[in-house]
Amino acid sequence: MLPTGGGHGLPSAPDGVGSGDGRGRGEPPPVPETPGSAGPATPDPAGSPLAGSQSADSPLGAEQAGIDPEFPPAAGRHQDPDQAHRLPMFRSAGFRFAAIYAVLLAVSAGSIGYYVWWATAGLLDRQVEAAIGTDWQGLAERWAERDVPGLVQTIDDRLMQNVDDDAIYLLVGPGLHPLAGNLERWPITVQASGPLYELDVSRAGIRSLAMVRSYDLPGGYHLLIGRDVQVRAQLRRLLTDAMLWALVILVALATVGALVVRSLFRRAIANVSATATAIAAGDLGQRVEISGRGDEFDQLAEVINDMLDRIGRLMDGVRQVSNAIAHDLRTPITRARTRLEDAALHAETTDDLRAAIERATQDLDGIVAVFQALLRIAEIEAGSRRAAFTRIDVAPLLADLAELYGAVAEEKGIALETDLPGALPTFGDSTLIQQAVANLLDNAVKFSPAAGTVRLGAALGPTGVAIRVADQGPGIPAGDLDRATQRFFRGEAARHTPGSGLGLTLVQAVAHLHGGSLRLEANPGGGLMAVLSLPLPEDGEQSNRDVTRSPLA
Amino acid sequence: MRILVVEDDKDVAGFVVRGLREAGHVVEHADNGRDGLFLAASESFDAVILDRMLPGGIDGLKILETLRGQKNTVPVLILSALADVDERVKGLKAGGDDYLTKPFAFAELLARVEALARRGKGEGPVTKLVVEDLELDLLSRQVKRAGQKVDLQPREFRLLEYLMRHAGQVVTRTMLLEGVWDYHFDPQTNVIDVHVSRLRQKVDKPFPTPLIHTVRNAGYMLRADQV
Amino acid sequence: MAVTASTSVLAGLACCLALTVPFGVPAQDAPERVTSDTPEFCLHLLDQVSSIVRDATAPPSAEVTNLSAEGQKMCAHGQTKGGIMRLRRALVLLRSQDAGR
Repeated sequence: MLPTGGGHGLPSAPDGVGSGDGRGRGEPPPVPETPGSAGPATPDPAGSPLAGSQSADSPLGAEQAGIDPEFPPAAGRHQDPDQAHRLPMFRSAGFRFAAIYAVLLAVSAGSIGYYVWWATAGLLDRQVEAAIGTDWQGLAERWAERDVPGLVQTIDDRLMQNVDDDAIYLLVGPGLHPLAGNLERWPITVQASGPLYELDVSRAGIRSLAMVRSYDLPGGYHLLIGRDVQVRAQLRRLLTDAMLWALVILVALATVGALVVRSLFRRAIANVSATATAIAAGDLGQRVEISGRGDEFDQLAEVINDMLDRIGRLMDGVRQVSNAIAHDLRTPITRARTRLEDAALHAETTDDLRAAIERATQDLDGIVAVFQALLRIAEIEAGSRRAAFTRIDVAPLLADLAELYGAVAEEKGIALETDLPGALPTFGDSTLIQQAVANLLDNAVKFSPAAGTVRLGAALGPTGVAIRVADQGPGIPAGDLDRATQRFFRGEAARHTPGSGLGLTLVQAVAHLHGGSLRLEANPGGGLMAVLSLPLPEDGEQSNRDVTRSPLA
Repeated sequence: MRILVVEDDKDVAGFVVRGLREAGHVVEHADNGRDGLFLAASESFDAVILDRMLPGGIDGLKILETLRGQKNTVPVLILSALADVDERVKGLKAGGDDYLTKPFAFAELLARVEALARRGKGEGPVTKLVVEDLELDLLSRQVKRAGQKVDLQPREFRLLEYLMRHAGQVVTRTMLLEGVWDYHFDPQTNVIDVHVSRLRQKVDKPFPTPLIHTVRNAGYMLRADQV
Repeated sequence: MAVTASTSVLAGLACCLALTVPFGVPAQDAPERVTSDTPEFCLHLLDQVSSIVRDATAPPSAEVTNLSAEGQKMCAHGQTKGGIMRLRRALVLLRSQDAGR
């Protein structure tokens, strides 16, 4: 019935163990994934070393090489720090941040620059337009009052009094022959009488620039009004030059700034990513640096470090368990093997053989039971049972257990006293709680001396349900109380009693899964008192919801 | 009884088939899913022992689902190395009647299969269980042996009821734990033995012939003493 | 990365600036001549000043006299722009005096 495959130190699993299926015979059973983390399917980080060991090297050889034999580094799927530099440009977040910075700078500078332009050169242009408009209004009135002659006179006057020396006028008749003003002839380029035109003019031999506008007068007359804007043009050129230089400086600043932003970004990320890379490569001691500023990066670093601490603890736990399993199972396996070998060599009758075989079968059954228990504990610690939690009342459960063990106690001359209230509501899985309390009662009855008393009590308090199992046996010495819940731990007093050392481990696993706790104390009056605490239904429900949502529980 | 064993492991299959035949049953064996399904669907059996992991593309659960889908109600005992609760639930939900994890003791397998087959026969609701001179009245919750009233605690009553319902069959300690106390774990101390012994004190001791027998390496059986 | 960033920024700003520069400068083969920068205009202004002074009831102020004298001299010596400016100022003063009276 037990499988024949497997040549490693650990017996191989038939048909796959636990949640796996289809694993071939001869492969070591996979370490349960993410032990202790809550909720279904926490996403596998890229190149997760927990995805089942593939190495066929002997565990010892790998350990000597300094690599954790159960978690070989995933071949080439993680990024080394150099690769980060070669990240294609457009995928780099650093580039994105830098580009955003550059664009923001450009937009801000552009807006300011445009505003300055508008407020200076633009203002000048608007002033010119306004002046021309005002001029026209005056001249139009004059025309209305005194017709052509009056207009001619006015234009002359204005020219003569134009101290600023910037006015341009030209009045032409229907045939475009000039009547008044300071232009020689009607400029060819001024075709229409609405828009503002730029006009190159020559003033005493010197080139200049004017802005002119043409107005139509009744009778086919045309009036050109304008202003010399040379000074303004020069100012505008100055501004343009300044703007272009500003642009060059802006580009330089944007580039430098972008590089600075990108390097800041990189530096902030680099520490985290370098630490993570080192850890993925197997160095679990690494932690992300905390700068002490208390900013978001520090918070991220703290969370990551907490997670790493937890992973470290889990891995230590797993290592401990593997060691304990290897050690503690060798004994019964050896015993069975020895018996069989001995029977093969020395048994004289078929009955002797049969007896030896039966004893060996029992030993093997014992080993199987240990495996079952280990798997159970692993399953509980993995947390997937949480999904089936519901509101339950453990009072009837305790009463049943008391009745079950009452008979055994009575047989051994032990008094089993109970102190159970009518209702003990909590939130969880009744089978698990049943098994946990049964383990405690089992221990109590096993270790109690004849004529001793075992007390099973329970109480509903403000924080939840507390189940007490107290015996008057040898108890656990104070120094061992912490270790008592470790797998395969057996105190001195228990050395000669049957048991695998997994009972308390299971109770603790159940307690933790429910969000409760297991406390072991010395019973006043001698012996051990175990207190299993379970939360109130509402608290349990709430924390179950929280836990199954957050993968970092 | 006619029993079908669908199991691909040669050693396990051989062992089980041999054991069942020795116990007096007619056994058919299939070593892959397709043949197993064919046999189960086309012939009638009193019970089917079905391994979950089978080669040939059709696994145990699929066979089970297909059978149930065809309204085939043959009692099925699922055999599997997958021991965790979710897998148990999956198996039972797919239509299995009992679930035994590997490695198992043959006595356990035999006891459970026989119990399943007997259950499958469908005896209908009974108000009284009678074995020899032992009478158990389910309505009045009274037990009488040889006309004398036997005083039993409620749990003892249920224990006796279970044994009587499986009269003539081996009842393992695990079956008793599950059936009478609804427990699904193996206590280390011999809790069941103690309870059975107390029951014997009340039901067997005061009377000339014992009805509750211990079956070595298996469990208990309640039957008329045939010496 | 720096190159692409800077070119994009450059392009952006160049567009902004280009839009503010008024476009559509018409084709002009020769600049138009302004006639109020010539020595003839200077003389014209001088005539105007003289005629106003002649017709005035009161004598011109010292400033006016100075300005017109300076203007005349400058125009005669070829500093047309300066001369025109002074004569214009003189005319403005004369006109305002005239208006004030």
